[in-house]
Amino acid sequence: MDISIRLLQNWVGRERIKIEKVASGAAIIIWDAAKRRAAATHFYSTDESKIEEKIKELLTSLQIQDNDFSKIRVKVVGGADVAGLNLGKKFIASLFNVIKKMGLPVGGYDVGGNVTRSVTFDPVTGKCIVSYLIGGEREI
Amino acid sequence: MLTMDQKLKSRIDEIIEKTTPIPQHISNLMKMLKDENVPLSRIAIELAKDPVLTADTIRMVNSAYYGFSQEIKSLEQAVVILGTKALLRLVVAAWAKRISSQELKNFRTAQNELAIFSLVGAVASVKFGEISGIKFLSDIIFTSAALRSIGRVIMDKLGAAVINNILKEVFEKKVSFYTASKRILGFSHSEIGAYALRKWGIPEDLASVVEYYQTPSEFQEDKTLSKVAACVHLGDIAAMQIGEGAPVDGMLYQVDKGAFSILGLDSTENIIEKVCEMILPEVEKIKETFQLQVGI
Repeated sequence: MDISIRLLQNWVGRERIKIEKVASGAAIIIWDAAKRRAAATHFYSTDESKIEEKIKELLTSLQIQDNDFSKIRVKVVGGADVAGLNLGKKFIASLFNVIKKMGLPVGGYDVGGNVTRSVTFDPVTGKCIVSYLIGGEREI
Repeated sequence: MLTMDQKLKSRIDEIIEKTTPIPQHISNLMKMLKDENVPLSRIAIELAKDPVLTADTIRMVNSAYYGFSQEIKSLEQAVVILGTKALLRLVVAAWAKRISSQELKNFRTAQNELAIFSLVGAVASVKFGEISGIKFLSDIIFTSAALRSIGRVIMDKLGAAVINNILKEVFEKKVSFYTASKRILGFSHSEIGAYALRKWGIPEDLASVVEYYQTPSEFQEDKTLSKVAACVHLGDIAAMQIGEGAPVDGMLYQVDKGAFSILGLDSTENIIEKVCEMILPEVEKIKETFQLQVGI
């Protein structure tokens, strides 16, 4: 059974996770490939300091030492643009600025467009499947 | 005035009457909304027939959007603080929650999801009302926002082929779900929702807001109600941005920028962003308060 991550909830563990109905916000998954576990959240903010704080919380929960990011991979899913507004785009731009600034390696992403997404991630295999509410799916 | 093909109209009427019937006690409560001087005893008699509805109504009175410092525990207390009309509108909202809680296979919402989407949008709509200086209209804003997706419940029962045809039109012609729905069926979910509400005897003010919430700038007849429709429109957009419980068409609409000017707000997306950030921490509380766990 998948662990379902709620909006704004932080989670860390080895179980398979599912984040459903991601719209303008994003599912942020940080995978520790060496320890086969992941930290994840479903988050939204265009404030870079809040995003950085959230990512640091996830890194702390994974007990990443001395900013050693060599074994981790970040996956980002979401940032849809709804109703002709660009809130998703703005959020994803802020999120990637923070990721770049912190020097985190990106292991895959599926962002933008006007689709509602759900994502499942298995920390044991590293398999990340994005499915779309309108139909279809892809692995990132 | 809604016009539609006769065969389709018969099918819609059948759905409204047979598969989404309105219980007699709810119908009685709705009629009371049209009466200015209903005694609480009459409301209490009808509500006593439906303890779940009563409990949901009290939960709504106590939900974050009203922000009372003390907990309201009884209908009597609610009437004193809100007045009978506002209380009855919340009864309607509680009933809308019940209808929207069903699984909609064709709109791809699990059990309770559409109710969550409706209530998140309702709380966001009230926030837009507060920002625009019309907090005194909170009960009508909340109730019409809670009712806004009723049309989806009816359209879902038209079958997968109908919804898929609309989605095909959306992607092939690059139009909104609203436009595609009007082209294929002759009506949008908001129009068919309003049609059902009128058939059920829901007061005209609520039905009108539901009818125009997707296009508030086209609602010219009543300035106050057009403000309510604008709040519901922007609250709906905020709910779509958040995505919680969103139906398959949730991403496929355009913002009516006239909604900002109706409310005297700056026409930028910043205001929607601010409301989304205000509402996000409320989403889990809304699910908890209204006992809406997905798939249960």
